[in-house]
Amino acid sequence: MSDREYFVTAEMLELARQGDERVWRALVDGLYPNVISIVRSHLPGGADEEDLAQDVFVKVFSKIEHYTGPQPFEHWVSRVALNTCYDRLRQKRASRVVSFSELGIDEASFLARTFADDPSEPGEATREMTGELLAKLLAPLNANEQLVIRLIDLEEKSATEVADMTGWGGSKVRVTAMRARRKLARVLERMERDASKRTN
Amino acid sequence: MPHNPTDHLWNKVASALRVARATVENSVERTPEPPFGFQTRVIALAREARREKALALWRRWTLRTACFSVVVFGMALFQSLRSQTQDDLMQVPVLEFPQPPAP
Repeated sequence: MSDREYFVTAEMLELARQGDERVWRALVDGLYPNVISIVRSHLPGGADEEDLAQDVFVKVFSKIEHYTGPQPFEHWVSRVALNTCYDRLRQKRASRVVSFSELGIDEASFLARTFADDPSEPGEATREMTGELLAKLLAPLNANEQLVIRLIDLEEKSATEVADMTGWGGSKVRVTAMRARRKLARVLERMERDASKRTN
Repeated sequence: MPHNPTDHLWNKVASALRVARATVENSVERTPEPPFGFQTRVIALAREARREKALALWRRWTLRTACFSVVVFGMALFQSLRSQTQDDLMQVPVLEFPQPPAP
């Protein structure tokens, strides 16, 4: 939202509550970039992204009477998007740890260069590749842990901001992040050993 | 937030992913637009969701009203039957036996 002004006025909100289609279209146009950005950050995959963004907007319009301020409407929509992603994450159970050999060529190359602190030839880092790699690395984490790690370590939000967005207490956010990092440390240590065996 | 020293691998990977994503984001369109038909689908689904919500509310209140009516009717019927029984007990029935026919 930092690049855009808050454009939703009280009049627009009132018309949206009444189901005015023109206002709904204007809200979708204006809020889509922010919503799709949140969805892409938390759930990679082309088809899922559009479906999830659609779910977010349907929730926004069907529950718009729940918005009473004082935070800007755009922030409330961001929270709905985040909660929708979180609900979808919860439906996917934590899966087994992926080994280094199961990574794609680009993913393995990216990870090996990162382990070796090799800045040369960064290679092609597409949104799909980084998204898939992240999804594989975070797969052993539960939904809470995935959400916190994405918000704090990838989007660089503070624990206070995450607590505010999720409605959790600050200590829950910190403990969840610590547990998630511990799991990730074990996964990555194993992957680093496998990566160095391949290069040696 | 203070990080545990054993998190160094994850810190490296997270940092690399952030840089990679920032590079990708800068190279794509800044303000993505909804795909064709997206708004129409959202509006149709949202209207349907609101209709379902209103219908569910109506069903809930109809059921409550029906249950309330049944309870009220049941109580009235019980009271009516109870008062009728008491009236019946207060009255001593007069028994009339038919006379045997003359021999």
